[in-house]
Amino acid sequence: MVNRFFALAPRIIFLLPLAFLAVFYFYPLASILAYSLLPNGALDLSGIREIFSDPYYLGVLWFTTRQAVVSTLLTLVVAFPAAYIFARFRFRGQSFLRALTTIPFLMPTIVVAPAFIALLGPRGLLNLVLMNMFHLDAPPLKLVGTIGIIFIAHIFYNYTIVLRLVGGFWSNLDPQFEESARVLGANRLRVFWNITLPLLAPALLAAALLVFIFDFTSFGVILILGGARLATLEVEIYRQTANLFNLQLAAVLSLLQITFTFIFMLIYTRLQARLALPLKLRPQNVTRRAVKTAREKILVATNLAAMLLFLLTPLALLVLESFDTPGGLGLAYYAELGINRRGSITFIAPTDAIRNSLAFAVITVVVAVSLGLLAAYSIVQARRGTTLRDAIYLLPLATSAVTLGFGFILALGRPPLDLRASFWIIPIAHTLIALPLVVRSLLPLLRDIKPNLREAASVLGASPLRVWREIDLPIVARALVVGAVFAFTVSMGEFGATTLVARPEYSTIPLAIYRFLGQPGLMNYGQALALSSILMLVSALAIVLMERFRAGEVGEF
Amino acid sequence: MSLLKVLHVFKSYDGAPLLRDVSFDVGAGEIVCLLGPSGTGKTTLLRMIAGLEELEAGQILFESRDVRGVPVHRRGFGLMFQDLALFPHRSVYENIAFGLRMHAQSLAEQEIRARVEETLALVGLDAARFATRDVNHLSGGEQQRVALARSLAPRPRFLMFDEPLGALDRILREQLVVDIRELLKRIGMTALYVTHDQEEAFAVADRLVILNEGHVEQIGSPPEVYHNPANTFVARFLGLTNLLDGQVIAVGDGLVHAATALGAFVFYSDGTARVGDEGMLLLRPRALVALAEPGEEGDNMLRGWIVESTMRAGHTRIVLASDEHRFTFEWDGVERVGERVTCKLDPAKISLLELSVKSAS
Repeated sequence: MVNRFFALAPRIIFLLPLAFLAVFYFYPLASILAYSLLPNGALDLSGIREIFSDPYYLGVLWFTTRQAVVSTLLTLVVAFPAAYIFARFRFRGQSFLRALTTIPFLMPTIVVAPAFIALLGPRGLLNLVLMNMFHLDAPPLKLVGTIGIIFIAHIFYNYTIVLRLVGGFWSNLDPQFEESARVLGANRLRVFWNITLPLLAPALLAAALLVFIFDFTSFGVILILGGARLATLEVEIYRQTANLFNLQLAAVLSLLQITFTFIFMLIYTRLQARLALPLKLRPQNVTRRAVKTAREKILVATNLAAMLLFLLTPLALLVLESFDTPGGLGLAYYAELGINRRGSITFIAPTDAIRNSLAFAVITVVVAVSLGLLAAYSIVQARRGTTLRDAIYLLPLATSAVTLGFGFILALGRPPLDLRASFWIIPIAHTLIALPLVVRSLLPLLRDIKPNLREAASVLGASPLRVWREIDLPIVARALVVGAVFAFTVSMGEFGATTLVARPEYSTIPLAIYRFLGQPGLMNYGQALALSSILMLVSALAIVLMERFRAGEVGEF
Repeated sequence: MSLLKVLHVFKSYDGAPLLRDVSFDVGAGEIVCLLGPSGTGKTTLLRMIAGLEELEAGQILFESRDVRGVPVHRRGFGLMFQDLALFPHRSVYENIAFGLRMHAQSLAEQEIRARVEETLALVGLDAARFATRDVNHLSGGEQQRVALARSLAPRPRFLMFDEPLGALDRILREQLVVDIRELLKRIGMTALYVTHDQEEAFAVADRLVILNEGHVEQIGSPPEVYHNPANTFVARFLGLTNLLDGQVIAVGDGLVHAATALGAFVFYSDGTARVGDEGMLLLRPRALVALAEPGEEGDNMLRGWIVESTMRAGHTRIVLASDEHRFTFEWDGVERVGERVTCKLDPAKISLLELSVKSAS
């Protein structure tokens, strides 16, 4: 198909996103590979052998897997009832409530961790209530630093994946399968066990695998809530790099992490393709029914109430406690953010962190959206190799943030490309993480534009540039906004990669929060809460904006 | 005078030849129809004229000027797409106004409104009811009319249709094709119409260009083509399927004598047949004039069994089996399936056709 707009633009600009990935993704990845397997220029597998023979690292690996498996199973169980409610019932505010569940998922980890400290920590609400009720001198719940709080945070995070993937699939499932089983004499339990559950299996598996990948590579939650004893692979890479400067060991661990996530992603995409049952999907207005009987009303209401309580309490509490100063409710923690008390050079005022974060976010939006647009066009326009290109642009999503950051340290910290002290290394890292999301949100709409719409416009007298403006732009505009918001939120909340590559003077909001959390004293804790609240508010606003533009189910998960 | 001339055009697709030496012309005010089976390159030809695809060889002249190098949006042609390509993000009004807004000498909004309403009226849609409608919520026939209006609004110098009625049901299609012809004639529009449906082509066209496997088989008015199909392909494509291999054995007195596996046939000469010529005899559906008495001998006798006999409006359609052949005739009598008969055929309803390239290969 001759698309004349693209005949205008030199084809070479469509190679820009690929060049970006080559330099800032594949090169760092190759550096990790080289550093771990060829530390002295020759193949040396002793690093890998060392890890697999040291009980400590085996322990880390075992813990990483165990917490991910248990978190995933718990998430499935906890979110399943809501998936059912959303799939089979029709009630007011349904789409708004579903949108609300996305907020935790898109929240920066650095906000979620303090939110759970505000709820379950030694000074958290739950402990305060218990201490008051039973006149205790010490907080009775000691959850911080245990695996329990990690499970809770992971469920909180990934709840919406199960709700959307399982609930979405379920809502298109023909109720006639279940009805015919009932007519054939099966009781409700048999129907669920023999009909519903097997039919849902593909969606359940896909959701489980996706949740598992996120839990396996969990970083911020574990780093902050897990305390000093608990470490996942991701946290261990960070510690080896940032605290112990053992780059070779970190490289081997990163290689391990990359291998695992790639295998999981591969299984995920394979499963999605293979498990697609040839089902005739039904529109949701057929499969959903209104809530009628009292029993159903109670069922729906209690489920939704529990869901909202679980998803909103930690975030609400975070904001609440950020105003709860020793001198009563007030803005003391917020006021403190602007003051540099220690006067030290390494201390970066939180206001500077906010300014940095905004600057990085704006750059990330511009670069990621431009590159994403080019990448999406090059995928859609490609005569062959569409799936390959698609997969290449998806890869950064399958690489954990800390691994990316570590790759940057190895590859971009020395000639020929030394960006160590550069301001740009941060927005580049953020762009890398945001790019797959931008491409994902653009692709479906771009694929849907029939080429003959452009041809029709052209025959009617529209110049190539005009065709793009009149046809492409209005159709993908919403997706562009969604992509931009994705990029903005990712950049504002990114923690894992930034914490490894950012120089102190380029500190961002998440880094500032992390630093406050690591320092003793109520004032530091309060400032962490205040900054988290600000970040949460910004992210929430962005998400609400995005949901407004998303309309329906545009954008692939 | 011809407005559009297509001269010796060649095009291949994935290395295989798609169009081979195609030439034809379209006169000012004429409606020419490109007719042929699917996959013969009709749409590609249209897209090349529109400028959406490049020629490999040959020329396209418009008003005697080569259009090569003129970009699509400067050709000033109209094209109605097979699936209409209505802009889904624009209202009916904005779809029709689109072409009017694209031109350098921009029209005032009032003029645009007037032109849109005028064009809507032209295609038989009520402007007050339709202008603000969402194009996605129109019926198939309404969408067709909006697409036609969109193509007409900028007053193109030349309008092309790519199977514009393909998606509609038979009854609607028959009505719309008559409407389109009537409209094009009323405004004196020159048009090129692509279809694979011969009834649609016969209803809309002044002249037919019959394409098969990338080359032109025959050009002529609908009656010319129907009465004198150039070869076996054209005959079969028009539904004339009573064909029989034959060889000319004698010519004289304005008559041609031919020998076939099913006996000797005689028919009127068109002046081109020579002794020894091989071809196919075309027996027209109305060739059957009488059933022979038992024992009767002579030319133009076709023996066989009646294997099908169905009542149609005004006649009986009978299928005669003779050796491996099946012949279909329209007959006023009533015959029973299974009867063995000898048909006497009218020499005026028999002709000798050239073998088309396709049947020869």
